[in-house]
Amino acid sequence: MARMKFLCDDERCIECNACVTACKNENDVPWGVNRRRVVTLNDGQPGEKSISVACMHCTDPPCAAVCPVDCFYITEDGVVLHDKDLCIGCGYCFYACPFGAPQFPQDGAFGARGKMDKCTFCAGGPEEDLSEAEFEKYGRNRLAEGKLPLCAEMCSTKALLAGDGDIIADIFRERVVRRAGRDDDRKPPASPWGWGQAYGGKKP
Amino acid sequence: MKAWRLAGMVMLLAGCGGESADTLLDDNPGYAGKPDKHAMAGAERETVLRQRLLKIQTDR
Repeated sequence: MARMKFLCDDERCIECNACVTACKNENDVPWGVNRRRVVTLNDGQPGEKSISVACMHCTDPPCAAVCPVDCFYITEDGVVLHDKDLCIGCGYCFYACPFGAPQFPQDGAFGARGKMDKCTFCAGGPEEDLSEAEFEKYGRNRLAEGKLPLCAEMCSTKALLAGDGDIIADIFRERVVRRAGRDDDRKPPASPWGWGQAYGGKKP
Repeated sequence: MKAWRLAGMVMLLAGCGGESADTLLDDNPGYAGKPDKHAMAGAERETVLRQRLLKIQTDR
């Protein structure tokens, strides 16, 4: 069974924010909530890096571990989803998530928090597939339609990849090898950016 | 009087240290709701999504 993953290639991301717009539009995301964001490091300086970040659909999700009402579940595809009927909007998942993926819409007076909203990998939620209730609560269920998340499918530079983790790893590996073989001045490192910092060895 | 207060404080604090880490940590009992059934069957779904990934997300 495929295990769904996102991967953003920082060498290709041009910070166009089209993934953010596509996600909001496709899933009819409420005002003030961004399921996906583009983060830029060293903005405006030579060698700045941008990556598109949303829920990373962790294998061992910390949001699920801290949820007091156990509203999270992982599908057969490895997509981390949650049940808005169970969610109490406590915000523990927001504190636990290292990527800041859980978002809370303002719901009512005095800035009261609504139920948590996050990237669903365009897989809907626990409601019946392709139903109106599912769309209203969780957005489009593209996986049930045989499609992958729109953010990745419409990425113009193919920086953002979404799908079976094994295939994505192959695509990315090919890219890294190809870049390492470039014969010009802008020769980028053979390993992905940040690899050395994360796993030791030579820093790129 | 001071000694009594000190002794009381020590007894109070000693009572708090008895809790082991196992009882304090939540072992995540699992999803409390009902998961949905997917619209497509497992094998078909995998084939369709694989084709989609290779067709759309790789370099044109």
